[in-house]
Amino acid sequence: MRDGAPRAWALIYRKELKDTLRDRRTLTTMLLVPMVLYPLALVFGSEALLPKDEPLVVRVAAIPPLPSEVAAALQTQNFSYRGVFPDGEERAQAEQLLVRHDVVLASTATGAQAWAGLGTLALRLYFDESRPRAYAQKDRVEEVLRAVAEANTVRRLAAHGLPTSAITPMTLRAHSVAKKERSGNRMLGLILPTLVLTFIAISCFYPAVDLTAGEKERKTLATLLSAPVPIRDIVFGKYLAVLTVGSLAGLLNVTVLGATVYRLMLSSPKGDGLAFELSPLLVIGLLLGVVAIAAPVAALMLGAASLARSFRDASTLLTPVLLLVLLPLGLTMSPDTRLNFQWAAVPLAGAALLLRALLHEEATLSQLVLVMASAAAVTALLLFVVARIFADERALFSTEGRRADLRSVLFSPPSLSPATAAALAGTIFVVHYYAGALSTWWPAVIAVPVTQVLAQVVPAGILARWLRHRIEPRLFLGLGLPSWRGWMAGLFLGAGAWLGLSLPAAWLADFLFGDLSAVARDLSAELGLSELGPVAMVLAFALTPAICEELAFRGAIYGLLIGRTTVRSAVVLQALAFGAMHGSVHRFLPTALLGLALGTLRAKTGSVWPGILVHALTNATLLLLDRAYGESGLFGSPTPVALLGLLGVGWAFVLLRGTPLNNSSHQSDRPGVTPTESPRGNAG
Amino acid sequence: MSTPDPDISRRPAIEALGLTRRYDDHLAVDRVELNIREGEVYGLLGPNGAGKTTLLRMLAGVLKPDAGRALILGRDASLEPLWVKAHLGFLSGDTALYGRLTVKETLDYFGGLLGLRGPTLEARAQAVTDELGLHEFLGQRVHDLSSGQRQRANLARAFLGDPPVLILDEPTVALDVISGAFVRDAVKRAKAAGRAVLFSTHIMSEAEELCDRIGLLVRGRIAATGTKESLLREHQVGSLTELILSLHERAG
Repeated sequence: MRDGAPRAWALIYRKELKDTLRDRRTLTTMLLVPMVLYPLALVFGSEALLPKDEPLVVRVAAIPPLPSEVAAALQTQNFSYRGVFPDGEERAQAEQLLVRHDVVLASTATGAQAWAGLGTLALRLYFDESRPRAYAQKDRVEEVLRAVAEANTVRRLAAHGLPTSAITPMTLRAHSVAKKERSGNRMLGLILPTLVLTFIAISCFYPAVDLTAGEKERKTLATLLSAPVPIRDIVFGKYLAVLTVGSLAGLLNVTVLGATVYRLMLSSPKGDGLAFELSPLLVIGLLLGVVAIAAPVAALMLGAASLARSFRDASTLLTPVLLLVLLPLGLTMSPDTRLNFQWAAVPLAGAALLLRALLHEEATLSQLVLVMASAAAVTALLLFVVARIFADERALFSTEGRRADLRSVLFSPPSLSPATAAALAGTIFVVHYYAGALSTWWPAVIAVPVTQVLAQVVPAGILARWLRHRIEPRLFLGLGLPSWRGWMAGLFLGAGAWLGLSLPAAWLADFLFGDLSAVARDLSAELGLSELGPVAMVLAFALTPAICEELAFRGAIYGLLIGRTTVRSAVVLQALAFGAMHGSVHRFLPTALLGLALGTLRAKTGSVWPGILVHALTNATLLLLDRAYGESGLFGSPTPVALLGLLGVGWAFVLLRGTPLNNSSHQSDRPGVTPTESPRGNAG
Repeated sequence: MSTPDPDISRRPAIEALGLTRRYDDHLAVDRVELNIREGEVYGLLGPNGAGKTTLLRMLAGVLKPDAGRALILGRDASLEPLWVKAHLGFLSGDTALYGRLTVKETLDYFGGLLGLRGPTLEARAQAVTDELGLHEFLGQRVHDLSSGQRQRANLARAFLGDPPVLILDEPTVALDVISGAFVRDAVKRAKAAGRAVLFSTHIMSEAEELCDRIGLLVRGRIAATGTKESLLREHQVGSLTELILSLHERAG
């Protein structure tokens, strides 16, 4: 070794450090994510979405009433205090009092005398640890009691010049009355989201890389591509494999880890009371939550890995993706973050919080539906992008040289296919949801039309323009004028659709899910209908949604679907998307049924205009009936009125009888679109 | 340059019409014209980097051309890729088999992707197993096979759908004598069955033994095409190797 020359390991160390720091991906992972993304997410999360901390008022009951000095300390603005006299067995009475109180303090009848003299006031503190914030409330009470005891000691002994350790004015023992199963579920709720998210993300990592970059490296992807299989089938098959392996491996990890910890805790002296209550319904809910986490994670991992040129390249690409996926952990680790409607719509975070809310018995059916819908929408969008990456040959063949260009993958025009339709529906759903936040600042009469335009007309318009080289936008959106029969059918259907179709469906929804009147009342209040004139009401809530929703669903989504499916399937699928977009189990049936009628009208007339007429008339009927008769008029209409509506619907279809369901105009004007990219056939 | 057509009565099976493909600044395939008829074996010769693999991939419908058309049995490979893929067997250095599947599982999987089911699939799997002598290692995983056995299994995969057109990119490269003979026999049987075969090779003797016509691809262009005799006569050279070297030098 030359004198003064650095040792070989030092040279290697310096070179490796330089090499690593010059790698942009490493810098992104090391610096951008922790220094920019996490703080931004936290600031955004806490400012915009975290529930504002309501002042914690602790409701305390005492059996028997506490000495006045102690009671006074619990009568400040942060506490509500109530003294009750003993009635039966202490614990049973405490459990009963805990229904309306957060903490119950029990002492003996002689406690007050002990407190006044030199004795000890022995307090037993009862609380329900399975409730949210139970420990925070218990701690607050304990803190106050300790302060009072200290003041009491000082006061009593100071005069005699004795040390404060000479007496113990108060002892306090806490007892939780919670059922051990509820406590177990509560504890599980705090750790399960973190475990599920982490293990699923890690478990999806390897299969996603193996089935994309791994196949590219092993040269089996080209073999698969030489088979007569559409790209969408390849992507979907691979996606399902990643989803299955990732979810099962993730769940297995969580289960085995959970079981091991459970066994260890059972064998420890403090763990003998540990138990869980997992009803079949709760398990189904938890599994749905797991799917809502695994579905977008698998799609995201598959997409990132399919861009990679090799196994090694994939692991560097997926590391930032993994960090992104684990971002919601920050939220789920905080016990104060609760599932609300804003969080429910945020992919991954909503699903992780749903797991906790289910175990804490705080989740609602609507939140569950919203989490699942949000996961489905995001997954559809991601799979759409993955399919586009797979369609880029550079992503498939290039094991050396340049990667697939993500920009060209994302911004080249999509195909007219159900996948694009699903992506558009997902976009509409997401934009609709977040643009809906406008209603917190603006009155509904402005916010609703603006939201409709932003979420529906803008995406449909952008898509129509994007596809203009494949199909004329007017034709794609169905903007051609219909025949007089089409207009007349629209008029009759519009007059009868609410009464004949939506109303019976609403009755059915009420029968299935209950409380429809309350939903209608809430919606009416939310829209501020009682404060609006009829013209503004009809313009904002009947005409604008009619135009926007028809352009989006019967225009763009229907137009995309008939590119690859039968007309009947297109009508049904757009109706399901239309129902789902209304984001409520109560509104799904009436709106999906209306969507079915509107889709049939679009298919028979080849135009969205009759549908706009029907939609506007339907909404107007609903609004004006509500204005005239209130909710009782809306849903209490007698059966004959519904039959009259059905007659209008029937007459509309009589007018269109003989008009075939067609998409011929659509097909004929699609230069450049593969005419027969058809199912695989037997060779030979 | 014009060459005699072996049998004008047979349908064109593989056609390249001005097929062109560029990778960034590099012109890999330049306005290639080809017409291969049913029952004909056409050999594509050329040095490494001449554009053979790119040309074959375009003809097989797995790569889109920048210009021109690739037709298989009259159908455009870009516009109807699924139909085209269902009617041709494609094998290249890039089409490896899944190492973790057995040979039987491989045949079942690719047969399923071709739309073959039940007894039809069984019959076809049996036929290719017999044809390529796969019986001994049908139950073995692909990664446990020798390279020759693996190539035979891969050929079986390409022949499985009984395709009327075969595109084989260097099918005998790095094979032992026995496996090479299996492949050559398979090509001869395909020709006898009236299939069109387009294959690329570096082995001149193989091209001379099997091919009705030979095309020489140099720098992305078909520099010469014809029967071996007509090529040697026309260019006044003693061997195909000599001809390739001379065309390569001429192309600069």
